[in-house]
Parts: sequence; C-alpha cells; structure tokens
Amino acid sequence: MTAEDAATAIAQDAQAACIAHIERMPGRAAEYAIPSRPLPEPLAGWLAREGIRLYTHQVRALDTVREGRDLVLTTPTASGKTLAFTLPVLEALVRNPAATALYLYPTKALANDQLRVLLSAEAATCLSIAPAVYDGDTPASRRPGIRQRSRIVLSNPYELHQVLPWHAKWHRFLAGLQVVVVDEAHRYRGVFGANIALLLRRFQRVCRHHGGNPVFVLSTATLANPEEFAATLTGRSAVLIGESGAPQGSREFVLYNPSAAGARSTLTDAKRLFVDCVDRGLQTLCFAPSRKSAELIGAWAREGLADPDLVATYRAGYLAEERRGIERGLKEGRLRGVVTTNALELGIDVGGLDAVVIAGYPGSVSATWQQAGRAGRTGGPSLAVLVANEGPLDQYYMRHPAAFFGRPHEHACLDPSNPAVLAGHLLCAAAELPLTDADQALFGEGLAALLGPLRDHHLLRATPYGHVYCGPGRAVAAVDLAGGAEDRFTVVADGHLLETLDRDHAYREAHSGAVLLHQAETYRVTAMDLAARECTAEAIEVDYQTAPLFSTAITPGTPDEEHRHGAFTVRTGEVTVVQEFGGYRIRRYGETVAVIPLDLPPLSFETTGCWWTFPPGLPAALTAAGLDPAGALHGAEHALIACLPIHLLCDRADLGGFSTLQFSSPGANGDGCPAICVYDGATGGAGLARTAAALLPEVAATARALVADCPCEDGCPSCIYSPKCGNDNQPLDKAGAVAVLDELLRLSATH
Amino acid sequence: MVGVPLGGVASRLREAIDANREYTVVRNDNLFRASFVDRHVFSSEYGRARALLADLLAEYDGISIDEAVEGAWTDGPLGESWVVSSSEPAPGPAPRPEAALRLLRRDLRLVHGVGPALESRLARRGYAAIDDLVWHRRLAPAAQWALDALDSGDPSRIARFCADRRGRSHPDFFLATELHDEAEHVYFDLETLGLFSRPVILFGIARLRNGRIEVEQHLVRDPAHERGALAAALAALGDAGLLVSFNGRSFDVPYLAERAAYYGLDHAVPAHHLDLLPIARRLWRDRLPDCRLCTVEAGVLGRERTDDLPSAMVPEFYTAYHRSGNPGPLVPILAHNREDLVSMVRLVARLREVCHDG
Repeated sequence: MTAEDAATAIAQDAQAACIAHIERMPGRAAEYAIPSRPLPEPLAGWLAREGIRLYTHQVRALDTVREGRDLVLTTPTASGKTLAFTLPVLEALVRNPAATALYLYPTKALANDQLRVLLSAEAATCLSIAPAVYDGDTPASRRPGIRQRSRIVLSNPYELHQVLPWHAKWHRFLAGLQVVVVDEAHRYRGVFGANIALLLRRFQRVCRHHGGNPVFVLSTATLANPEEFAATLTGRSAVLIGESGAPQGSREFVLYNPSAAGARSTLTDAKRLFVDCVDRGLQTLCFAPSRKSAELIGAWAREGLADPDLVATYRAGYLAEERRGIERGLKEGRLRGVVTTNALELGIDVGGLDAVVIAGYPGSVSATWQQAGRAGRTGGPSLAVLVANEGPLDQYYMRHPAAFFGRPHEHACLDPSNPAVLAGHLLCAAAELPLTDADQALFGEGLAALLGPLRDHHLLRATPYGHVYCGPGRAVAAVDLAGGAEDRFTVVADGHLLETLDRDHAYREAHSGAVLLHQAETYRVTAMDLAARECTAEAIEVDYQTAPLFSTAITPGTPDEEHRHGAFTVRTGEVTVVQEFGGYRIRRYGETVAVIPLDLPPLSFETTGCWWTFPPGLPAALTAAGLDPAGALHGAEHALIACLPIHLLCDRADLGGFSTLQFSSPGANGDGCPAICVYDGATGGAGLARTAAALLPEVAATARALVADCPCEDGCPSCIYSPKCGNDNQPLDKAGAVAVLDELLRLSATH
Repeated sequence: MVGVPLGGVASRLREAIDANREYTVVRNDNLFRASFVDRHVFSSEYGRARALLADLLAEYDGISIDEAVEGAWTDGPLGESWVVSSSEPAPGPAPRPEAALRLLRRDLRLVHGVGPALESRLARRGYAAIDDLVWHRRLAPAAQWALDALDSGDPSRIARFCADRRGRSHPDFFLATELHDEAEHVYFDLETLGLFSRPVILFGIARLRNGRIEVEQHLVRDPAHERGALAAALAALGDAGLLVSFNGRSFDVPYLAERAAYYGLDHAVPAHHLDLLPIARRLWRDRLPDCRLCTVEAGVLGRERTDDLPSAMVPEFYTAYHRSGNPGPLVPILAHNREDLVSMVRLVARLREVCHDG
C-alpha cells in the first residue's frame, strides 16, 4: 500500500472531523550539476565508484568554499547536506597536505555518527585524514596523538571552550585550519546561542594568532532569517544555499486534530494512527513528546498488534548496544515501527521509512519537518501525520495550515552583545591571548564598555601588550555555555544533585513547597536557602501540582531603538523587571484547592524588552463596547506571547509579558496610557524581544487569528490562558483581546 | 548595547571566580581524606595562612613595595624585571662524578636485554659490572653499546641513556646528572596565579657559585611586567646545562611554554631537566603521607618550614596584594619560593648520599 493510499484510508477511517487538513505534495526530480573545476582524482574516483552524482546545492557549496566564502546551508533533512560540506573539506585536504578542518556538533552522539561517515570516506578515498572525536570522553592517552596527527577533528562547543586556553598545543591544527563546519547551527540560539557566538569569535581570534583563516560552513534547519542568523552567530557574512537539488518523493502530510472531536487524547490517537500505519505495511516512526509518553505509546501499540515484536521503543538513556540493535532492525526492515523521543530527531541514519506519526507539535515548524523528513528518504512516497495537542501553537496550525506549509516564519535570534554573557567571554579571551583594541572588531562596542568595570574588579589588567586576565580562578570555569552561570541554584534530593536552575526558574519552580517534576518523578521542595542558592527536595508521590503567584512590575529604561509600524511605534531597550512572589497555588486536576503564602524577597533583573502604548481613549472605548479593558489587554498580551514561537525560534517560557492600563514611563512617551511590554526572560536579553519589535504587526495578526478562530467561549489553554501566568489567568476577556489586537493592527496599517 | 549595570556584571563574575578555588581544605588535617584530592591544604595550615594574611595587611599598611620587597630593576632581553637577590651557604657534599660513573657501570640493567631475572642470574655467575659483559656471548654488543655511552664523556648523552634505560625516577638517572658541571645547574621554581592560563607572579632561579646558593627571584610586581620577567627567565633557562626542578616536567616547564605562547615569544625547552619529584616519590612514597616538597623536607631533610604559606594558597595572597596594593602578602610568597629553591639544593645533596651510600 502506498503512502497516498494509506493517507486516504486513514482519512476514511478516522473521524472526519479530526482531519484538519491533508497536504498533497508532489515529488520532485533530482537536479544535478557539475563542479566548475573537476574534483581531484581521489574524490572524483570515489564518487564515480559509489555512483554518486552531485546535486545542484552540493556543487554550489563546493564552489562557494573554493572561493573562500562562508556559507549557510538550509536544505531539508536527507538532501545530502553532509556530503555538501564534506566534499569541499576533503578537497581542501587533498590539495594541501597541511590543511585541517574542525566539525562542531551540539552533542557527542552526533559527532560520533559523523566520525563513522568520515572514517568510511577516508577508507574509500585512501586519503590520510585520521579523523577523530576530541571531547570529554577522549582518553588522555589519545589526546596528544589527535592534536599532532588528525586532520579532521570533531568536537562540541563545551569541549572547544575548555580547549581554547591550550591553543599553543594545537598550533599545527590551527595553523592549517581551512574549514570549520557548524552543523545543527539553529540550536545555537537564545542565551546559549550568544555564548556560542562569542566562543566562535574567541576561536577565530586564536586561529588568526596561529596563522589559520578558516571558512565557516553552517548547516541549519529552515529559518526565516538564515543569513542574518549566520552573520550574528559567526560575526561574518555567509552565502545562503537553500534550494535543494535532491529528489523528493511525493508526500502526504495530514494535520490531525483530536480535540475537534471532543475530549480525546493526543497520545491514544497517535497510538491508533501508528498501529494503523504499521498494520497497512508501512514502516513507521512515531515521535513522542517525552520518555514516558514514548514508553506508553510503545506499550499500547504492542498490545494492539498481532505481532508485538514488530515494534520497539527508542529513547536517549538506552544502552548504545540496544540503540544500535533498533537502528539495525529498522534498516533491515525486521522492525516495522519504532516509537521514539526526539533522540532520533537528529542526524542518526536509519534509512528510508514510509510514514511518520508525530504526537504533539514539537515546538517549531523546522523541528516538525525534521521529524517528518525521516519518511521518504529514498525518494519514494511517504506519509506524515501531525497529531495536535491542546496547546495554542498546535491549535493555530490546525486551523491555519497555510502558515505551516507556506514560507518559513521562524527567526532564530541571539544577542552576543548581552553584557552579562559578553563579560565572561572577554575574560576567557584575555586568558587565551592579551586582549587588544583590534579585538573590538570581533566583540563589538561592549568590549570597550566592559574593560573598565573588569579592570576595576581586578579581573583584567592593562599592560603594554593588551589586557591580561589575572583573576585567581580559571576564566572558563566562570562561563557556563548553557547560560546563567553565576546565579544558579542547585536542587538536591537525598544528597544527590537533581538539577540546577537559574534564579528566575528557582523562584518559580523550586520555592519551598513547590512540586517539581524531574524525569517523570515528582519531588517536593522542603527548603530553599537563598544565601547558599540551594533547594532541598524529597522524592514523594503527590496528586497535585503547584503554581506560583506573582506580580510583575516593569521599569523601562531609555529606549535605544524604535520600530515604526504605520501610526504605531514599538520601542526597545533595557527594562528592569521586578517580580513579587506572594504565594503559590495548589492545583489538583486543574482546580486550585489552596493558596499558600510565600516569604521571598522580590526578584529583580535587567533585560531587554519591547513595549508600546495604545491611545489613552482605548479603555473607555472598550468599556463602552461592554468589554473589560484590563482583561482585554491581559488577554492580548498572553495571545501575543503564545504566538511568538510561530515567528521566533523559542519557547514561550523564554519570554515574559506585562500589561497595564496606566503605563508609567518617566520621561518616555505614552506616560499614563495603556501599554503592553514583552521582555526576554534571560538576564541581559537573548535577542527575542528585539526581533519581536520588528515583527509585531505579523505577530499581532497571528495572535488575532489564534484567538478569534478558537471555538471556546471565554478563553482556554488553546488561546489566551497562559500556564505561566502569575495572576492565575485573572482577569481575561477574550472578545476584548480580539478588540485590542484589532486596534493594534488598525494603527499599524494607518499611514 | 543594553544598559545593564556593567559593574554588577563584573562583580558577579568576580564572585564566581573567587569562589572557584583550585584546592580543597581538608578538615581536621585528615591524612586519609587528603589522599582523595589532588591539591589539598589542611585546615590548620589554612587557618594559619588566613591569619597571616590579615596580620600582613595590617603590618604593611601604608608601606611601599620598594621598602617591603628589596630588589632592583634589572635589564633583560625584553625590558626590565624586578629582581630580589639573596644568598646562603650551600650544603655538602660536592658532586662525585667518578664515583657516580663507577656506580653506573655496576648496574647490569643498563644493558639492553637485561631484566631483573637475568640480572640476578648474571650476578650469581660472577658478572659484577657492565665491563664483564663484553665477554658474554649474547650480551656483548649491547654491553659495548652501554659502555660507549658511559665512556662518551658527554654528560647529556649519559643522562639520556640512563633515562631511556631506567626511567627518570631511577637513581641511575640522578647519578648521571652528577656529571654535569654544578656551575651550570639552574634550580627553578615558578609561583603562579593558578594551575593554568594565568600570569606567572614569580620566577625563582637559584645557582651554585663558590660554595653558596645564589637566589634570583624575578617578581612580577604588576602583570604588565610578566612578559619582561618571562623573557629573562627563559634566557636563564636556555643557558642552563641542567635544569633542576620539583615537578617541573609536568608543571613549570609547560606553564612557561604556555605563557611564552600567550605573549607570542619563541622559546626553546631546556634539553636537560632533572625533576626531583619522581625520584622522591620512588624512594620515599611508602614512608611519607604525600610527596609535596614541604612533606619531603620535613620527612627526609628533617626541616620544618618557617613560612606559613601553603603553595596552593599563593594565588590568593598575590590577589590580595594585587587588589589592595598592600605589599605585605608578597613577603611570604618570596620567602616560600626561596625556601623551595634552597630545599631543592638540599634535596639534591641528600640524594647524593642516598645514591652513593645506599
């Protein structure tokens, strides 16, 4: 049975109401090209022996690297990206015996997968490359040999961060460096992205010192702003290669909305669709949102199948041997179905599959396509089914399939100028080589502004050779690439470390009395020591959840940027956020059963925000229309934040919001007017609010559609309810929210 | 650029960096616990050192560094460095190169192909020295090769040969270094701001001249002077016939190489290096709780330290000086480094007795 037939059959079987949309995408033939100059013999011979012809995008990538220009590759999953960046690397290595290359992967597992690819390429081309993974798992005894001999080193940003101070030992490798490959680059966004962007600048500086001047090759998921993103991440401009020449089989993409047929569960429907596909003979992968749900779907599916051994569950945390067994089973066709968490989302090659069932929107369109792309790898027809959750993003795409299948909307944002992030990297840089005026070109204006305070705190010293690091501890240890290094709280249960949280999350999720979920186990926090930044928790089975109650106050600073959209102005700049935690709610089955007071000092931090005001007459107009002005603004704020992940690659928890009828902004415009503010949750900012300011009318249009098209009466978790609201989602006015968003759209369309 | 208060950013960073100490304080001076951590300071030492720091800051308040640390600006290859000089009588005994060579000739294991079992069989059959093995049918070529090395008259070749055959922790290697002219020995010890990737704060160098230990300490009064002092130290080391250190092969020499790379200076790694730590460890590991230099001094040389500054705490003393401008904390750093250098000279003298007289 083909995917097309299966899709039709599924559509007939299922409750018609649940099929929100079926997108039929015709296949596409391969487009081949020939390099402008022939490849050197070992590579040309290898491709000829393997019967590989190069696609257009692979040839463009080759030609771009040959010109010494950076590139960003955004072609889809399974379009031969690896070959696209490996071919120019191998060519550089053939032409220059001293040439080297670095491959950076976000995880160790991906680097190890890529190592296998490179080892087989080395064997097939008879080149002497000695590719090796150099990461935290590399034994000390192997490290000197890799530094001395390997011509391709695979690593991850965490290791690079630790290795940079030892650059003198890497002289040979750095001096010969021709290409740096940054794969899965879209993962480097937000505060993490800012850290990686600064790490890459430190790396370029050290390369230059040793005489290396590599080209950067980035590979990312589809983005709305690939060139801008690449430029921010590396500080260099890159050529975009987005058109794929790889063949694509025809694809049926089904958007399936269980909630359209009343109270149904995403997981049970996903299981049913998964079993249907397997029963119809399609080799199927089912993506589940968590480990626990993957195990559940797997167990249910085995019950529902005549031969339970046809399906397996695959997730991170399994032994390497078990995982290899499952991968082999899929490749050989013995396994007909696998349920997995997103451990399998990434590069791991399991061969072509017929169908993919995705239980719950994975958070971004690009992640959804990456999962869907696992089907139809060999160019044959394939089927993908996205089973929606209740969440606003899921529901939005179910009702607006054109937004899902149209051009990309998601912007990847990062802000390397965030001083809270920059300062630590300046110390690291000054510990690697003296920091000089020339480094301003890499690190930006923040460098000059931070030198003074860092000198005053005796962490840097000005010398005739530049600024020298002279703190008593290691500079790299003071920087946590994942973000929020200095102000982290630890959660300890039964004497072992459960997790670490930044202050903001600790206040919300690990105050005393809070119920904390960790790997599907529940813990209750028994004590929170603010001075020691330590929370003590105990493992306990409880049937309730907790949610903090807090009020937020915003003080905007002087705006540093203004975005004019018609008659409407959005300002961005520093905001000081002060949150007062009054207590927390105990919720059982969605009902608040008790409110318990909390005694915590206010939480205050500086970040980047964007804000805008409405005409002072708005509240009166809303009241006259029978709407609640405060609930209307509050609802519009929630809807906007809920929709931001449609336009920015982020989670709604990465942003905070604030709305008021009486804006107080001393010295700034709009004092006393109704206003909404959206700010980055990360101290110093992560670039989200700044991009949101530029995109506000588009975001408002999405938010209006989300709220207006939601079938609920007074607001629900699919539209204006926010799971993180500190005011217990009070007050909210759904019709009012639509009116506020309409006003915003009307003003921004007025010239 | 967001107007986040930059001073706050810097002070939070400093707090994180200060909290990140590179040693562990071992409570109740528990020796057993100390064996689990790489770098440790006993809590009694820690308490004494912190009290000393407070006393010094009070004692030297308002006193200039020139008064507190007597020295002189000295020209080096890349600018001046502040040198503090001192001198004291050298301990006996003098090196006995002929006796050392005789002892080496009696070690059959220096011959390629002779292991412990063969050695004892050969000894039973009356082979007492390598010279006897030139008549042994199978071992003759290897024995001749060993004798060629030992008779070469080239101390470097002999030392290399002994290191290759017996390892750098073996007394044979120590004996071979006795063939180097003592006037060309350079004793060497660095004090740094940390284990890695931070400035050197003191380059300590000692030489033997006319029966005295001449100590020359290049103090980095400000990180701006590190490069000049580094160049001076590299020049001194480059001239050494034999470099003598305690743990220098894994710490001081790589540290110098890293700092030279940091400033973009060329440097040559000294060819001959006697690191006393592996030898001390081999000889006294079972007798001593650990092989820190001060432990070896107490246990082997019978000398108790007069300074109260554990090596691991040098960075925080220098940082106290650096941040306050008060030179007091430098005083014990210089004293500590001088004691280390002098102890190394004494340890070499003691090792001579041990290696010659068993």
